[in-house]
Amino acid sequence: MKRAIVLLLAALAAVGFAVTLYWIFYRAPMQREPLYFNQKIFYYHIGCAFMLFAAVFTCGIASLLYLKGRRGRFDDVATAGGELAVLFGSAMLVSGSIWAKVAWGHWWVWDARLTTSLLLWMVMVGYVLVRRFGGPGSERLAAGLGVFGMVDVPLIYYSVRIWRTYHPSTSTAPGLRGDMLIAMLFSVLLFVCVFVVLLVYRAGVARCARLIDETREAALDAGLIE
Amino acid sequence: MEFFRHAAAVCAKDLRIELRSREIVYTMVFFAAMVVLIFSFAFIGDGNPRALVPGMLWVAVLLSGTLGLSRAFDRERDQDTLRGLLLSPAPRGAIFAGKAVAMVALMAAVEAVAAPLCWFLFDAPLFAHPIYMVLVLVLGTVGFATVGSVFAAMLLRVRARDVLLPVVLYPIIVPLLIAATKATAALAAPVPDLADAVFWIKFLAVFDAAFLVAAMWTFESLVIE
Amino acid sequence: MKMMRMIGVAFAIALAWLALPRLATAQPMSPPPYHADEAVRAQCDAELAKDATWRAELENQFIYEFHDQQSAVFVHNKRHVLMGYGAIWILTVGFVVITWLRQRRLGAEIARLQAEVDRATKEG
Repeated sequence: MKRAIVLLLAALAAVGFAVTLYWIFYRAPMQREPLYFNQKIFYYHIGCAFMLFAAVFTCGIASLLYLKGRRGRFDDVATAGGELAVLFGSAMLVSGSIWAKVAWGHWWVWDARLTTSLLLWMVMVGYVLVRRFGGPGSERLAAGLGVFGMVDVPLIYYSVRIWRTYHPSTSTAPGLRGDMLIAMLFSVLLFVCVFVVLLVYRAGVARCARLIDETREAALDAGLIE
Repeated sequence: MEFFRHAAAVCAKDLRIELRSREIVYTMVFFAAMVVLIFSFAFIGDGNPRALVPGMLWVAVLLSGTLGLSRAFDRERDQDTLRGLLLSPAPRGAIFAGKAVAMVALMAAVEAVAAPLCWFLFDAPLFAHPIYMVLVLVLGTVGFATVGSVFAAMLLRVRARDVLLPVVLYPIIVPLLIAATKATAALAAPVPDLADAVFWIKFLAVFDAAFLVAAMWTFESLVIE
Repeated sequence: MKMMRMIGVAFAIALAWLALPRLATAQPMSPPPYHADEAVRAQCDAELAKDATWRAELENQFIYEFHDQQSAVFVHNKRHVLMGYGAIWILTVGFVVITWLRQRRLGAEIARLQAEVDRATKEG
């Protein structure tokens, strides 16, 4: 059942890849002012942005559940969520800075949204670093970081927004109508599919690694191996 | 009531150790002064970098706070005294609160030196509105000590804790840094902007409340043996 | 395993190496350099210096042409769009490849342990 759903989503993602490209480049009209063709970057960029937030919240909620019940399964999901947050955060930052180069002439602007996502990305990079270099017993620390990162999201968002809007900022999201809106929805859906598939895949790998470790420890306890 | 008694006991224990050795306070205070001086050497151009003073002050406080955190919790590691603390009948939340309050006290000592130092060196009117300024300092310190104590306690059992503490702590703490710096800047401006300062003070209060709740909630399950 | 990873990295670098010049030349951002004959250029400058109004007219005309060229480049600027989409998919594919390598490593580990168990049971 679960496998079938994942396979279906993977197929959807493969189809969606073609469909979104078709809608973005052939159906959606070219934006007139002020970016013209460059505005096409936006469609995938927004998908990455949504998935960054989805991954952070997945990681946070899974961490919370892990702390509650200590069930390893949630820890696997949190691992996957953390890594996906870094992945989509990087994709979003890179495409966002290319957008910034076209729209504002600089690779990086201290715009509210860019700063917010940079901070979130940094929190999640910290999470992955803890997982990678924390050594034994780091799951709990990682879980705590996941929860605190999730609590931090609204605070980062709010503080940076107020902080930056004291300066005049350029509007980032162009008004979308008609086919443009549909193209955007398609690409967001595509990224939801990609996100879920990658999440399940990565969590499965994490589960496999955890089972090997647990089995090894059980064997150690039973005196089967040194 | 019981909760506060336990928390006070833990806090008193930490402060008593500190009063006997005075190791952390001295190093933290000197380190904070050093950071302020280094900033002034790096940024003093032709004029007085008064606009940078709020940032300097808070960076000094946060950096020295990190130093103090890792030292204060290393102390619990030396003889594995944290296990003793956790085994005592005190609730976990009270232990956490006690350690955080002790941390706040240590950082208050740092701020008591660093803030006047900034005022003295750069002639910045930090204390034009003393009540608001103290409120900003207290709220900022409480927020930092809350998040920092949780992470430092969790990191006790982790290998690369000296490196990982700043790596995980700073991104989380950035909203606090923004709010505290903004509030300080609003208060120390030539024409103080009280409305702005009050807004950021409120934000600091929200930050503290959110992380206090999160810490109380998770500390119990985070430091289980 | 290490071999596999190194081959993968080398492959990625080779791909990037191949793709970069293409991306860079996909859309010429600036008009090709104009190598004027120095003598002719001096003559032109001299002619232009004679009549200020004519010079201004010419300059205006060229400014319009230049702006038209630039806006045409900007309106159909494929370079940055390609870069954006490429970056997103390269990162995603990279993640999948890394996860796949990790999975293979775990699979090898399981196979090794299984073999050890088989050997031990046979001996015992």
